[in-house]
Formats: sequence, structure tokens, C-alpha cells
Amino acid sequence: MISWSDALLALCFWVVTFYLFRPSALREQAWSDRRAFAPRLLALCLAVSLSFQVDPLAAAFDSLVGLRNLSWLLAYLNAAAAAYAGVLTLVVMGQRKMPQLVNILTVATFLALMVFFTALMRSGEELHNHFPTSAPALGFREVLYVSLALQLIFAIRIQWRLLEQEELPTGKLRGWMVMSALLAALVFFNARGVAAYIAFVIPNWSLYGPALSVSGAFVAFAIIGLAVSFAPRSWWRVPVQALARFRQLTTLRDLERFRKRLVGVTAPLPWSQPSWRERWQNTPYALYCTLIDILDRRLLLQAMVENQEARVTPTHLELAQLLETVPDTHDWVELVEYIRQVARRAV
Amino acid sequence: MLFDICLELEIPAEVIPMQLTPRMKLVLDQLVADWATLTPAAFAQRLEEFDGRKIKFIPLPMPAGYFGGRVVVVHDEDTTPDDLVFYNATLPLAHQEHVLIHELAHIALAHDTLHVTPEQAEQALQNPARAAEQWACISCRALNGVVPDSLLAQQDQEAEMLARLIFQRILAARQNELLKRSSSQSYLDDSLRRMGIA
Repeated sequence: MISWSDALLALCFWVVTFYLFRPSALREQAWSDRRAFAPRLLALCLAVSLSFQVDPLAAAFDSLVGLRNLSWLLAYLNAAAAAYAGVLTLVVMGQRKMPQLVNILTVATFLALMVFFTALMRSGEELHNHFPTSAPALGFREVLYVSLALQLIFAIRIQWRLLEQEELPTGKLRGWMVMSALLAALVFFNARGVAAYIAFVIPNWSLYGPALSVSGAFVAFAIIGLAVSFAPRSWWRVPVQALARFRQLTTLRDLERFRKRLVGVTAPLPWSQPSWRERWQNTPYALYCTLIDILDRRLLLQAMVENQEARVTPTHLELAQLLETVPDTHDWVELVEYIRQVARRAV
Repeated sequence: MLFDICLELEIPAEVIPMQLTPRMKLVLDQLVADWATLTPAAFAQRLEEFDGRKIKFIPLPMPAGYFGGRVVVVHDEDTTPDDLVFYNATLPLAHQEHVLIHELAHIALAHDTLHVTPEQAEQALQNPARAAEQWACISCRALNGVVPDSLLAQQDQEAEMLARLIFQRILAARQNELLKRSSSQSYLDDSLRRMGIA
């Protein structure tokens, strides 16, 4: 039976592959450009690898070719190649040299997989989502898990340095997404490696199923995270705008609470206020009006304190002190941010 | 979560509904061509072109509690009077801009104010604290010391409503400009920086 989650993860990277191989992108960046070549190789190899790990597809391919478990070999060779391409992508981005150990590790992985495959060819068809039943099947898996875990450690080290150098917020966000995906993948390979070994030694191990599910969640997170990190910049405006909208509404709530407190100790608001509809549809305007009300009340409060009016209480003094200095700027958004911090201290 | 936040947004009890007057509509619909770049100086220039009078902005170190105000300086019968707009120079710049647009809204709405001679205006510049105390038009914003429901209070509310509607259009126009480049690297970076996310 087809595992839809496996199929969807493969689909994720086919989408990325088609995006990176679209005609306009191919025209813009030549194949010889390593900055374009490495991510394309990563996406393509990962898409192929994930596709060959969808059990019914793998079985159909093997029966078509007539070689048992060939889909396994192709899936794992592509996974190792994708890991190499992943490290290469980060190396190119950071303008560094490829670690020699990664080259050696990749070649060794390829050779070890071929060796185990010769034994695996003679055994029965192995299912990907089933625990290993033979030593070659276990060895075949462990080679990939250990190799990819080591490559991931290299990748995480390089990505960490890239993140330290990154200055643009969008770059940082994208970088952290890649970093989270790499860490999740590292957890996945370690968990799967250990679980496969225990399941082979103790065939009735009851926790193999849960271990598969938990590690499956990590790999799903890793693949989706990695796929999203390839998303074009224009797509990022959707989550960024949603976050900005959420922040506007929470800021309006904080400022209105603070204004209410200031109105209580100064004077009632004399002006028409934005309607509910305007608050929802035109939140920046509602924020602006609230900001001006707060700044008005700040001046009234200062006058009350300076003139030593009889009604001045410790609350007046506390609020006046909180609002004593505000940024002298034309940028009202900066003022809103500042007043929000004051409001959070005051309310 | 969003729904909870909406419920928590409180409309103040002191909301005073106010109608858009034909004069306000005229100002909003016809006086300004480009809202996105409108500044108090540009608005004043537009009013000068419309009315044929001179508007001068005068920053003053006013005492606490005073925002700004406007007087009409009458030279002689043959000369068009000037509008002097005083504003508290100690206010944050964004607040100063709002106060200036509020005073310009009084001019746009043809509200009357104190008429002074050039000599009286000069004296006021020499002693802004005294002028602020003597001239109610400088102290009325936020109903500080003004009788509610008086003509002065009513005109102040009208001017403030127009000032806020002007800023509503300025903000909307700037928002549109931002939306045009909402996929750009700089827009996304600025948004994330402002939110303190990265």
C-alpha cells in the first residue's frame, strides 16, 4: 500500500526541482555556475531518492527492471549524492573549500552501498517501512544513516558560520529554516540507525513502530523545511504579512490599554475615534490615532506634574516618568514600537 | 487567537461621532494631488496657492501642556493677512507634524482665530510662554482649558477630524506604495526588522 506521506515528501522536492529547472532560471544561471548547479543537483537527487523510497513505486520499478532491490540502491545513491550536493551548496554560498573528508566519505558510501547491494540483490524484496530482516539489509541502511549523519555534521558547521555572517533578516530566517531542517535530519538518521539495529537484534522489539513514527516526523519536518527554504522571495511576503498583521493587532491592543490608563488620569478623549471596521480594515490608521492620543496625554500629564497640580498622584508621576523621553523621529512606526514597550511596562 | 485579540480591542466610551462636512470633503477630494508625499509644508503651500495668503511655521519652546496654535497677522487693509502657525518645538517630530496639520486644517476649514498686529506677533515670538497663557487658541488642543461644546471646542474637533482623515489618506497611500514592493528584499527585511523577528 502506498504511504501518502512518503509520496507527498517526494512531491515536495519534485516541485522544488521543477522550480529550479524552469526555463527562465536555466537561462539566467549557466550550468557551470556552481551556485546554481549545486542546489539543482540537491533538489533533483533528493526528489529521485524520495520517489524510489515510496514502496509500491519501488516494487513496480524493481519488477519492471527485473533486479531485486535496485530501487533501494538508486534511492540511497541519490540520497548520498543529495547530501554531497547539500554540503556543496553551503560551501559555495559561504565561498569556502569543500572539506576533503566529505569527498572521501561520499565515495566510500557509494562503494559500500554497491557492496551491500550485491548481497541484497539475492535476498527477497525489502520494504522501506519494515524493520531489516537480514544482515545485508541492516548494513545497507546503516551505511547510509552513518554517512549522512556525518555529512550533516559538516553541513551544520558550515551553516552555523553562514548564519553568523548573515546580516539580512530574510537571510537569517531562511538560514534558520535550513539549520532546523539539518538538525531534524540529524535526529532522524541517528534515531533510524539505532532503531534499525535494535530491531535487527531484538526482532520482537515493540518500540520499533513508535520509533519509526517519531523519526518519520523528524524527516518530514526536515524535508518540508528544506523545500520551503528554496521558496522564491515573493512567497515570503505571505507569512511576513501575516506576522505583521498579527503584530499590528496586538500592538493596537497594548496601546489602547495604555491610552485608557492615561485617559483615566488626565482628561476624557475629545476626538472621534476610528470605528470597529476601520480598526480591522485599516489598523495602521487606528494605531496612528491611538499614538497621537497617547502623545497628547503625555503633554497634558507633563503639564500637570510641572504645574504641581493638587490632583497629581504617584500614578501620574510614574506615567509621566515612563513617557518622559520618546524618540524624536518622523517615523511614527518607530514611535509606536517605543510606546508599545512603555505600555507593556506600564500596564 | 486573532479573534481573542479583536475582542480585546476596546472602543473608548468617549467616542464622539462627527459628520464629514462639505468643506472637509472638498479639502480631501480636491486639495491634495499626491497623498503619499504630503508633508505639512506641502499642505501649507497648497493652501497658500488656494487662498492667496502666506502661512508661516514658527517653532517655539512652549511650556508643558501647549501644543501649538494659529493667529492671523493683519498688516493693513490692502494687504492679505498672514497666518502664523506656532508649534511646540519640544514635541517629538511625528507629533509636531500632526499638530501642524491640525492647525492647517483650521485654515482649510476657514475657522476664524485671533487677529493680531505685526507688533503683537513679534512680542509673542519674544515671550512665547506669555502668549501661550494669553491666547486661548494656542492652548485648546485636547480640550485643555476649553469649555466643552463651545465654538472653539467644536472647531477644534472639526480640525482634528480633518487632520486625522488627512493622515488616514497619507497612511493609505504609503501603504499602497509599500504593497507595490511587498515582495522586494528591502520590504521583507524592513518588516522583519521592525517585528524584531530576525
